[in-house]
Amino acid sequence: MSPRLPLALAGCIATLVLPVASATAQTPDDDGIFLEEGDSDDPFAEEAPPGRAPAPAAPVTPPSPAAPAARPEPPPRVDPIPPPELELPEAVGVLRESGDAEREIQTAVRARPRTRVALAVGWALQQDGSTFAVAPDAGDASDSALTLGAEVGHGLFGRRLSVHAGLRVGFQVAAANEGSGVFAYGGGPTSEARIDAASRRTQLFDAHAAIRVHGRAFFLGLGARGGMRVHRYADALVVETPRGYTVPSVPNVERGTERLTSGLVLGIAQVGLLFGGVEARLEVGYGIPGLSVGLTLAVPLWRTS
Amino acid sequence: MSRALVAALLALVGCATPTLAADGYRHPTLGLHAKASEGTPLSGRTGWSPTLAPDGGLRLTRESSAARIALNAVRLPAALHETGLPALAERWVAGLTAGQLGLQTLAGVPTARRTTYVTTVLDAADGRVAGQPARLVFVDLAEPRTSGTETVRGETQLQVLAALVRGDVGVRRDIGEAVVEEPAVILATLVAPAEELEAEATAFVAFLEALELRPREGTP
Repeated sequence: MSPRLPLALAGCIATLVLPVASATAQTPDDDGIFLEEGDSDDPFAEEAPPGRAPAPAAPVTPPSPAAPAARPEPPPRVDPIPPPELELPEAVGVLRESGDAEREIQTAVRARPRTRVALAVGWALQQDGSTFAVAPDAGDASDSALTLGAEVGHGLFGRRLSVHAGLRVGFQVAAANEGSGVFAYGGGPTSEARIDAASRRTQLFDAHAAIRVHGRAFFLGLGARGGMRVHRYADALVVETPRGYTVPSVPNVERGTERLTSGLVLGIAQVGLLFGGVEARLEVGYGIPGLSVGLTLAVPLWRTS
Repeated sequence: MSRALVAALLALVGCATPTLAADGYRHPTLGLHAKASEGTPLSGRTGWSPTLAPDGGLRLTRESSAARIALNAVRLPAALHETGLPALAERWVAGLTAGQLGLQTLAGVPTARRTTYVTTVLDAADGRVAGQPARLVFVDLAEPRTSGTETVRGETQLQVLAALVRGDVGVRRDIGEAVVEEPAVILATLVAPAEELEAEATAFVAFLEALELRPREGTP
């Protein structure tokens, strides 16, 4: 170790300790680190070592050759204003009571399940892979629907678990395959029928049930969703052809309004947030007829106290 | 839309709101009632003006002075459920020091972004408010001054007389299909310039004496 190193270390230590030392009017000490009495006006003052010119900015005694050559002026020290010595105002005396303020502490968190009814409005994007609603030349179709309905929830055990169910009706707001032309449906064992028309979909009903786990302001749910939809093809051109032929040789053509129904059976996963009873959730489902992604906002209508 | 109609609509869906009526102030979910008894700041003839705070608490301002009274229910985080009142009072004072806006706002202390005070507890004592154990704290709030690398106490800005009350009370919170009541403390404060605090202390004590605290449902 270099013989200068201990001096440098002493300089660093003195720099750290000095403000405290000056504030407490230290007396000289064997190590020579603290200032002597009477030097506290200049906390960064330094004694010159014998035989050496004083280093102007080194804040330590003894001096350190490794200390920086110049330091900025420290801010002036300000003595704190002592706080007043006061007691509680006399009027407060009537509230005083000797004894421990810690008795009767209630630490239990109490939870009570309840039932809640909410008005729910939702929007869902539905991939539709059903046989009759697919445009053969356009791949899978998708549409979106707006739904409105009521939901009911009931707490199960404590505050973490609940069951939730809802029933809604809805209508289609947009369809990716709307007006694209040909929709296959039905047909006999040796023939198939196609509808050449745009469709409008009505959600006859859409019911769901889920079990939820609640956190402080969010929840996760797993459940199932089912429903029935009606597809209405106004001014449809129904062409029945022998199976396997895309160009009908002897087509059986009808024109009119066609109605078809389809079912909906999905497994669903939910994640949602609760703000003062208002619920916003994202729901992802998969099953028949395909993938579904929906957003729902549920506003409480009534709940048990 | 009138406040009463909004309150009625919210009550219909189960969202309780605080009320400030002729008989006093009622906390939305806690069984806390500040009665407007004769001679109390809520009675209307004492020069105090009551308002509801956005968080559901009560604020009273003095027309003839800078004194303020604030009343709030403060939910305790799980880590503090078993903490005694003296320690809670210390933490509260420490929060005022650190410039925690939420705590300062709850106390009715004038505050702005990054407002910090040097706090000194002048006196503290055990007491009883609304029949419940309370901790009475007398705090001096001074402006911070810089001394070297330290922050030291400057001129006194305000003094605070606070009562932390902890009984069988719980703040109700909705978690999905459950109502949860979590332990809480009631914080009542009188904030005033040092020269006015002594004079306003009588009104503050009258306010505290008019507090009623109904035990939680199911409490024997």
